[in-house]
Amino acid sequence: MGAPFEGGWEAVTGAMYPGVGGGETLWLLISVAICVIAIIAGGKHEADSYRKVD
Amino acid sequence: MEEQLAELAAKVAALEASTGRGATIISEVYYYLTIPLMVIIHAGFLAYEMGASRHKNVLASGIKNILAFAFMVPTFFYFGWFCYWAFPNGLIPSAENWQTAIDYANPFGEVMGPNLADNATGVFWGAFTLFAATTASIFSGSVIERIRVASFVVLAIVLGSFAWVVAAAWGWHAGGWLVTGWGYHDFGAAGVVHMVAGFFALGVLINLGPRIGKFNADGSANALSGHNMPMTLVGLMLIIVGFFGFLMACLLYPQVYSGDNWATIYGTPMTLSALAFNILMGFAGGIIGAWVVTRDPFWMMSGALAGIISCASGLDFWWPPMAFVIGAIGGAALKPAAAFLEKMGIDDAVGAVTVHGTIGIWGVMAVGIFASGYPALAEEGAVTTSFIGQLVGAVVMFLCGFVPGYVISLIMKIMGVLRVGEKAELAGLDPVKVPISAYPEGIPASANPAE
Repeated sequence: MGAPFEGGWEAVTGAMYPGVGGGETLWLLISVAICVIAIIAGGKHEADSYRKVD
Repeated sequence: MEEQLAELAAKVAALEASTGRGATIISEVYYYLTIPLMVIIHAGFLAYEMGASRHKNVLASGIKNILAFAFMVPTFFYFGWFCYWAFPNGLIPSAENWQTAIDYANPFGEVMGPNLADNATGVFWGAFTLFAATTASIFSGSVIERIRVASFVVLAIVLGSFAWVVAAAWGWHAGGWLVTGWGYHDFGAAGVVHMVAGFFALGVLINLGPRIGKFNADGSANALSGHNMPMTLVGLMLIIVGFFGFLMACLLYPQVYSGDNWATIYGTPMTLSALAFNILMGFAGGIIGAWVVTRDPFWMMSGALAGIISCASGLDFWWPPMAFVIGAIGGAALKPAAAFLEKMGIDDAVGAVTVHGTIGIWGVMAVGIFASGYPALAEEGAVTTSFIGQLVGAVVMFLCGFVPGYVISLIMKIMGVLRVGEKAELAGLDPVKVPISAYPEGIPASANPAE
């Protein structure tokens, strides 16, 4: 990772994020996983809470 | 002499390039500023929804509303924005539209990130993400006090990052089949946002059922009043403020994204003046229409929103007094329409189905009734707006909202994950699952007989 270019800013004309051209998929999948885990964990917390009062 | 002319030509070219660059930057700032303005819509929905909740459910309603916004952002990045570009011709993208989506909205690609060659994509994505979050927030209020939050989040994602996006690709895109084939005109999204969200909510409400205590055994309804009407009223006013940003974002900036004039999202010419005239006149008409019928501040402020939605599809066309009348009709229709829904056994806690769904139909059809014959696109020979075109559009918008809302919530109901348990609902969702209290020092007990 790190800066996707070497030298000064004059070399930069396009994408400038770490991982450009290869790291996008990994970060995208990690962020998707966080969303999915959050929903599942949230649902479990809810179900447990309701069970306590049933 | 020739050298001087060449020098002069070079200077003119440099000046033109500089002016063009300046216009591009201003246009990007213009759209960027619509994003925080639209966030105000969510501040409004948050206040509205919490105020409309009984004190035992205040924070649970707030959590649900906040999550609708939060999950809309990444999911609109993952696939919502892509769908808008991919689906104008139907549910199966053409090769050309698929390539356009790859070029403008590929979530794996360089276009969807900091890129010195592209200042605009993130700004437009941001504005559309806020449109998406608005649809989810519209739905959110209707289901308060009894829906499971995880299931709600899934439903909100389906609505905000898919259902309304498909409707927008069909009817809010210069290449959408409803526009090119039927002349459907929906400048301010009365159909693609309000109707889709309102009828999605209806589909869910049918399966979710009413709150305990809402209806008596004989079918008559009880008013389950929220705990803080002033908060609800301020929330509604904030939504109105945010809608100025929402509607700003529906224009194409002149000389950058359209010709010399401002343009609608269809590329047809319009003015900022039209927006100022008609939003304000619709807003005022809606309040006054609701006041005449109800004398109730809740319906008056809902009427303000209904007035704007009534005028939304044709905001670019209306003569301002006409916008006022159209808004007043929308405001006046609110309470009777809500009463009809209640009579059908639907418990819509904040009137979302009525304000956004039913009044959205009126907004779409008003163009068919009063503004037929306008070319739907800028190109010569384009199909014109018509009553039938608007009717077809309204039916499609209804289906785009209702069908996914009903089907997915039905599946959730069968799986037993749609609704909270009865004891939890009676106890209140805040004490059951929220780790903090809305009013730790207490507030007066409710006098509501249905509590």
